[in-house]
Amino acid sequence: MFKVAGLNYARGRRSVLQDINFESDAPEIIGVLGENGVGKTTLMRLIVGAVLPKKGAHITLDGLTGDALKSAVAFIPNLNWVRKRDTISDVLAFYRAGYPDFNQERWTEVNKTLRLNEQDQVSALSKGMLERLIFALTVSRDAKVFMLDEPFSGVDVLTRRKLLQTLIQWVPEDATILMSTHEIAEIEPVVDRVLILKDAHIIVDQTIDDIRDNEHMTLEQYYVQRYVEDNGGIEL
Amino acid sequence: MTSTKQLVKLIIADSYRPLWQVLKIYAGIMVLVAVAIIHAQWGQSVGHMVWTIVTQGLIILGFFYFVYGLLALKQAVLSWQDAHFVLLPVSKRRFFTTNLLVRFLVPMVNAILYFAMLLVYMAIVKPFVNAKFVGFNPQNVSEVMPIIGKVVLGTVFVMIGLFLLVNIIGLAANLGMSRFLSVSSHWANVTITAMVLFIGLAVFSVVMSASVDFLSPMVGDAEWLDTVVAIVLYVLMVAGIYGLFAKFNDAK
Repeated sequence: MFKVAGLNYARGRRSVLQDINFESDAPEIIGVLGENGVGKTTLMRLIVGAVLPKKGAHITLDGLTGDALKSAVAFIPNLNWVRKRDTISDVLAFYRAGYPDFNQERWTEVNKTLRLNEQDQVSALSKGMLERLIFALTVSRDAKVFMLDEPFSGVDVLTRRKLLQTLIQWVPEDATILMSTHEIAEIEPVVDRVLILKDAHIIVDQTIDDIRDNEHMTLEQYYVQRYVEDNGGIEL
Repeated sequence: MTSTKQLVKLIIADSYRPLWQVLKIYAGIMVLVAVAIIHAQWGQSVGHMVWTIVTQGLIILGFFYFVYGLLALKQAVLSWQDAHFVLLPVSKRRFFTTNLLVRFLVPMVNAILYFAMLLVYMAIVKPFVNAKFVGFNPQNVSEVMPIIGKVVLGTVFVMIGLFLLVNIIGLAANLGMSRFLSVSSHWANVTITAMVLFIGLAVFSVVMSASVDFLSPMVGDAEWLDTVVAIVLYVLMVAGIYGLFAKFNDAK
């Protein structure tokens, strides 16, 4: 059981996330949706411990907390640390050495689809190729929670579809996947549940089946409707 | 969890990155220097030219090692907020201890290597230029060594203090900026950190001297008092860095 309770975070005087609560029983794929700057990335950084929440927050995974929890979560916020001349092979060497749960076989398998050339310099990669690299490194770990922050933002539509179709094959069966994205229509067939963030709060925490059965809408239609409703009927 | 051995290897590799960059620039400059020396001393013996190149090379290498030291220090300060290290599966305490020690030791080992190179060079050169060392008598070596030993120890002690001071102030400045300044450029960061560093150095000196002045009447004018006060301040700085890292960190 993966559980986030009483999570609050402020930057200066601005409250970024307020009273965030949700639970997940693996296996589950959760879509984290919301407009730019709403706190999707911050939520992932808080879960993994890159930033620290205000007092009172409880993040647990099968009884694990703190540093032990961090070890069971796969998340790569960026590859900013990579130097100009570093190749994919150098980055791979770091993750292989740093993460005992790095699964080389899975990397090879994922890379058959992503076609990353290990001799390519990371600085020369396009945005889409960089996203592929982050995606491949993240899912190549034997973690319990996988967090993918806008993994398809620069990825072409065909690769995106292929990645979404095969995502479940690549990660361990008992894993929870948190995936933030703006490609709402494309993730609909894959996700089990969505969290919609607005004004620092979770305004929707529902399964896709509930949305389909009760609201009779696609995920994208429902998302737009909830945002408009929450804005007092104003679209933007 | 990542083993400590593996963590040490990764941090060492990261600490050496600026050295490789600096040595590449050094090698390029040395080619130019060697050509200039050969051109200027054309007609003189090959041995003379080689000695001049080696001597100049060692002096210039000293400058580049100094630059490396500064870059390694900057790297150490940034490492506390470097997500690719902070997110490694190790406990905060283990990462803190390993990172602090390795980031300090790598440039120190390199400095020792440089001075060892200088000593070897001096030992080779001395027989040829002994006459020029006015007042230097090999018999005095036994008297000089303890002084050198004290100087080395004193330097290491000061280096530890500077390393800790720069780390605590750099981390505090970076955390403060990311928390309270919504927009900041690289140069704004550098300027603010430099200013805070300068103020911090001044505060450290004042606290150190005030503590010694305060304690002197009670314990007498003891030579060890400065050392004890410095050690206490160092321990406080280590605790401060850990506190900032563990309680307020914002890894990017």
